[in-house]
Amino acid sequence: MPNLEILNLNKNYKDVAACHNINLNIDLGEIVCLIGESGCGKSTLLKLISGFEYADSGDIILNERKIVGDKTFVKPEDRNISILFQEHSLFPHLTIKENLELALKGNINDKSKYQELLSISNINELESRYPHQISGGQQQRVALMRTLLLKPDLILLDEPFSNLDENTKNNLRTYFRKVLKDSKLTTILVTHDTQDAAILADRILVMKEGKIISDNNYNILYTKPNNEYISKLFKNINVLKPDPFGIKHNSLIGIFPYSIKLNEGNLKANVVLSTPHYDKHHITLELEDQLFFTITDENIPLETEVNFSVDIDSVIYY
Amino acid sequence: MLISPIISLLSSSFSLNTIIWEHIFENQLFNYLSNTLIIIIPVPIISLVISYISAYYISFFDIKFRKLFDILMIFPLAIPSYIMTYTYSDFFSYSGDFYLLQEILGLDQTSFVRFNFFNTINLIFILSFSLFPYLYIALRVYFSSLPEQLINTAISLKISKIKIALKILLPLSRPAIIGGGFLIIMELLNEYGAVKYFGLNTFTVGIFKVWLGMGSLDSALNLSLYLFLFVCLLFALDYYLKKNKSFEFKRNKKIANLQKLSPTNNLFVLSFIIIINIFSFILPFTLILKNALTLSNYTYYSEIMTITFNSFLVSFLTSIIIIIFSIILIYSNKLNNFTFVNLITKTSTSGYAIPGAVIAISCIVVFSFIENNLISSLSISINSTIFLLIFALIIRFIAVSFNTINAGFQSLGNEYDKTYRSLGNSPLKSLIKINIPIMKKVILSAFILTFVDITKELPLTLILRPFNFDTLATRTFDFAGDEMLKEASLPALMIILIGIIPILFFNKLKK
Repeated sequence: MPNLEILNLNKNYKDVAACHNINLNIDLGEIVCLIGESGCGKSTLLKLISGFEYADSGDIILNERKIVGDKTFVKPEDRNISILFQEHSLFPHLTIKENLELALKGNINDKSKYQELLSISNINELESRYPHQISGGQQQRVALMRTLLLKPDLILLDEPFSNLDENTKNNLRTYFRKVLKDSKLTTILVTHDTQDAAILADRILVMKEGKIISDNNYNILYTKPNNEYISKLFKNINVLKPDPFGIKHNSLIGIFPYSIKLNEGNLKANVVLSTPHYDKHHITLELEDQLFFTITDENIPLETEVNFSVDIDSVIYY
Repeated sequence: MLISPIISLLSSSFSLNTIIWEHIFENQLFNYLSNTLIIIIPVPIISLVISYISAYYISFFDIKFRKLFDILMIFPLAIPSYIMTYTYSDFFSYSGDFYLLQEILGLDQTSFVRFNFFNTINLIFILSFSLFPYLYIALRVYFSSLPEQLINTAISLKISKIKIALKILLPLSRPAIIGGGFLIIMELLNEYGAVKYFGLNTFTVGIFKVWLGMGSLDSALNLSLYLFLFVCLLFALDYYLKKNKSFEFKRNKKIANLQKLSPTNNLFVLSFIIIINIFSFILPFTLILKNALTLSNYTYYSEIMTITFNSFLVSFLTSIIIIIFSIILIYSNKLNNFTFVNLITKTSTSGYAIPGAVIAISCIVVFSFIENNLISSLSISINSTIFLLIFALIIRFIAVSFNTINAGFQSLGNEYDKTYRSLGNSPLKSLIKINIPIMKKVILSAFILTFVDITKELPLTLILRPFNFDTLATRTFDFAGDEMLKEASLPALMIILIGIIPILFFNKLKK
């Protein structure tokens, strides 16, 4: 029996289907990521699960208890679901300690857990401070810790790292993954950042126009994206028209940067941009008004016309 | 010129040595202060309770007729406190509707529920019902700026509705409460009609008594100075309370989803809001309307027409001048951001915080000085002319339009202005061709707000009106003073109808 089960869930705003016939199972302790462009319906799905939005039809079953159904609507506060947002998760007028105490409710067992979590999360010295006196990363650690104190059946993370710098994001992603896995908590993460999904998620659900169009792990989505929308989300592949490359196909094609070999073959393109990429170079080329990129060991001057070839076997046909 | 009354007030002496002042200082000053405190402490507290409960439930819960109640909660602003006082006084009088209602219900005269109207507690409640919308509006605006995540987090933490209201939202909304409460206190300090009717000698009543009753302008000016210092103290307190204590959020685009209430709670909340609406607007408005419609003295209508014209003329002229001054002050400040210009601008707009009676007395002093010293050879008398009235009204109300237009200019930024001027146009041309057309809705809002405030103003107009010149406010006051409460209802109704215009206008603008 899955921990969370969603059956034929629908939600429309006027004529727009924000969630269309969603079916989904998530096992206990699994971390699932919902990814998609803005307006694809991922935040609406999160609200439907948390109870801050009413579904038009469909069922949601959490921990063998129906929380949304034909004649069932369990209020958000009674669902035992915790949410962590990108900001405003901590109340600005309360100290860190007071914010955390909101989740304790006077339970002695909780208090010992509180001390334990406090030392694990390295925030003991911050207790007396206000949220604006600590960093964004520390704020999210505190918010996660408060979530753990509630012992929820499900945790919803709504773009939790969006407002942070890259270094903090990376540290926090690893920290969140470890804490959530150690606590065996079922989690849904909503994000538009593929790196969040790569580090945290066991499974990735790609949403488009209110539908789940793919349910896979990161490795498969990254290396074998089966449609143009996913390729554009992950930004790791050139999505191009086939004709200029001498390929016959009715729709667009995907060419990985490593499949493009410079200084060989008969195809010609102009170098329009060159930027450092770790110890290599990120070269942007132009061919018949289409821009595409590859990674090279050596830099190539701008405006140079270069020959190149494409490894046909690795091309993805959409 | 705009800051001259404030300077004249500050230059008046604390150690005035006359018999009248000695008498006031020894016997009356404490009385004025304690009577003022009697209203300025409980009224904001009662207003806070009324407005906080209503604003909380209307902002975050799916209660029936929510949108209608949201507007109705602001309608009491259209009824000035003095008019509400006269209306309730008439209602509870021996020949009033309160007893008529009991008679209709078949009660015997000996078993009538008697109600002693002239009691300070009743005055406190009437003032609270009349002024709570200031706090209600401040809280509604603040609540709608709160991010939905904040409320949703609180709910997902299983914090009870009462605890969310008291432990999370109440401390967060402190700046809004202080702002709204401050406006209520300013209105109370300016209050004359209602407190006079109840015989409560506050500072403002004292100023009238000293000047008109004892004939001592100097002592009235001195008393005004004490009231002014009291206001300054409140300003300092306001500054201290707000300092580093506000949690402002970016304007929230997503409104928190409205929560459902249980049927019992829904009934309680609805009953509370309906009772507030009945006592703060529906009942007084119905009574005034009934009185106005049942008037049989038709000759009196032509007098009211003249008075309405007077009111309209004064309010219209003053509002136009105020709008022009505001635009000039704000735009010149925008062009030359000098500390001196800033200071002058801020000082000249502090008039709204100074009670009308204080401004009136200060203006008399300033113009007496000008008449006697600067233009004595011309034998021109400005005192007791409509010019002085308009001048004082400008000082008192320029802040209303200034703050509205300034907020508009701030959100507009400098980009349009700079772009147009970089194309070779003068600042004046940019003001006329670019800034004013873009800001026309804001300017119209400022005009309506100022117009309504001037129409309602009583103490200042009462002191400075020319001989035999009445406005709707002064006529209502005079009728009520002569116990002609029925006659007072028609000018009162006109004031209320004028007051309802901006509420409907802003509601439409909001949509």
